[in-house]
Amino acid sequence: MLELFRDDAVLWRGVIRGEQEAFRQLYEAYADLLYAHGLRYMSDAATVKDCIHDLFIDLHTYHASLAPEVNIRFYLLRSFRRKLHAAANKASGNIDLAANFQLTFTDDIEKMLIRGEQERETVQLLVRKLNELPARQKELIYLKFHCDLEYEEIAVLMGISTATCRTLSYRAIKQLREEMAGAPLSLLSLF
Amino acid sequence: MLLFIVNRFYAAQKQQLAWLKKLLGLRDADSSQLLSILSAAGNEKLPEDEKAALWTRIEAGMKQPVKRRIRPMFWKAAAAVILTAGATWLLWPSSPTQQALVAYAMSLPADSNLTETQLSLGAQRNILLPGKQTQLRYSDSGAVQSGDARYVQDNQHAFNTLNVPFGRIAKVTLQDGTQVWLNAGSRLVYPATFSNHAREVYVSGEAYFEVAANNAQPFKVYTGDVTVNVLGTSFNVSAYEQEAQAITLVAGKVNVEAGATQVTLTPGEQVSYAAQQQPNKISGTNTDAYTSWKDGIIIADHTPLHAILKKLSRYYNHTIIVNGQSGGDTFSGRLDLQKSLDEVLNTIGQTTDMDINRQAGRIILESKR
Repeated sequence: MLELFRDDAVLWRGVIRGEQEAFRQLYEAYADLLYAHGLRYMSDAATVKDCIHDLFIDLHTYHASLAPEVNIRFYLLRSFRRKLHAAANKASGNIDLAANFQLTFTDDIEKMLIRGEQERETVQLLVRKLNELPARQKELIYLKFHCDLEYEEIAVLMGISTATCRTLSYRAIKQLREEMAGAPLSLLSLF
Repeated sequence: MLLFIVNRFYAAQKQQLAWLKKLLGLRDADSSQLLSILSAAGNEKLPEDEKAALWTRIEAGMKQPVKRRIRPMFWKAAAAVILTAGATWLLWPSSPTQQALVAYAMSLPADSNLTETQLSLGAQRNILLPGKQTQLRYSDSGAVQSGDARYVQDNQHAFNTLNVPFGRIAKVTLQDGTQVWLNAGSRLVYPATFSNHAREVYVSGEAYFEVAANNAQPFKVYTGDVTVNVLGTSFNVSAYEQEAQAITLVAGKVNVEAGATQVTLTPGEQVSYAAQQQPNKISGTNTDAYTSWKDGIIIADHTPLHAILKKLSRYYNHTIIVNGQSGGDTFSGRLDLQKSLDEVLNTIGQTTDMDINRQAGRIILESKR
């Protein structure tokens, strides 16, 4: 067989073999993503860290029986969300984590190439509209753009069908588009 | 690893930009603005100290004996170490034959124009052994068997030399049963039969050793600058000219001397010597990545592209270089060297998304632009 793998696959095989170095690298690569992800659903950073701890201990304990072909990012997020659920339920009974989804978009104007006052206003409007989106749509946008997941994967994490997931995303985009159409100078006609 | 994640991030971003453009009908510049807004939020990072503390906690948790898996192979290797590796190896007196062997090896010409593997019995008798992979076996008397041919030594204690040019590899079973795989562009010098107190060989280039256990006859490998002291064990020696020398231990135990420094290796450990520098020891190496060449496979393990190409250059005896900055990109996986060079290059081209061009006898990998 002729094959070259990008490094994720090799890292995962190391994890399955139980190699300490592979676990360390996995942690190095994904701890921040998991941390930020956890903070979307619960504000207590200590609990989020406990969940990361429990996730890695589980991976280590069951390393030999992990599935060989996985998208690591998706796999970790899915397992991590189970940990978050368990922790949330333990603390305050049966609660819906998704209802807690917190994300605030900001206009980091300093870091953007803004040409003139009108464009600044447009960007600010866009950020405001993004923040006004319903929690589920925000969550979807977050999973899509921030966690770099496919619709199929997002659907699994959000507990909805792939079709619903696509509809939800289309609706979010459509709404944005309509809101932005009324902007003083829409993004669409800039430049 | 870091490089890889960065690459992946850009790939994902490109995809997302395309998605935004299509759905919103945005131009590139607008999509970038929107994407930077979307991905700027929710980016909390674990503070470095908390990140380190959490890993310490996880590491401690992993060491709790939840389920201790005992792998049979591990115990076999451990038993071999106990049987063969005594504590006496540091005390061996330096051997009188060492100087003769190393002096002889140093006196040999470079033979850089060889195109086939060559066996020399003493300084006079040179035998060409054509073929991609040569196999040799020594008998107790020092006679050499290669395929159907058999060569008897004029002098049992004469130094024999096996020269393996670029584009060829060889495996030799020495008189004591020790097996040595020689990589392309390598040379092994050794007596046809070993003396009673020591087994000593000289290597340049790269060799993998599976040393037959024998407490009474310590085995030593010399390179230009390094001496490896062994009992029964398996290890890889990489000592190409103008490259850092590296010893990688697969099983057993070895002691490596370079100048006044001594380093003891346990399985999975590697020590390397860059010019004018202190020995650098690392543990937990993927030893397969260093020894797989003997089975005609390159196993890359976070290996930079230029290093993979260097190995291919030696194995196929063809200059292969990479243009631009992609040489530092790392890859992992297997390349089967039984395939033709073209097939192997195609695989690399597809994985790296690079064009493969031939110019003036050289193969040049270039980023598609």
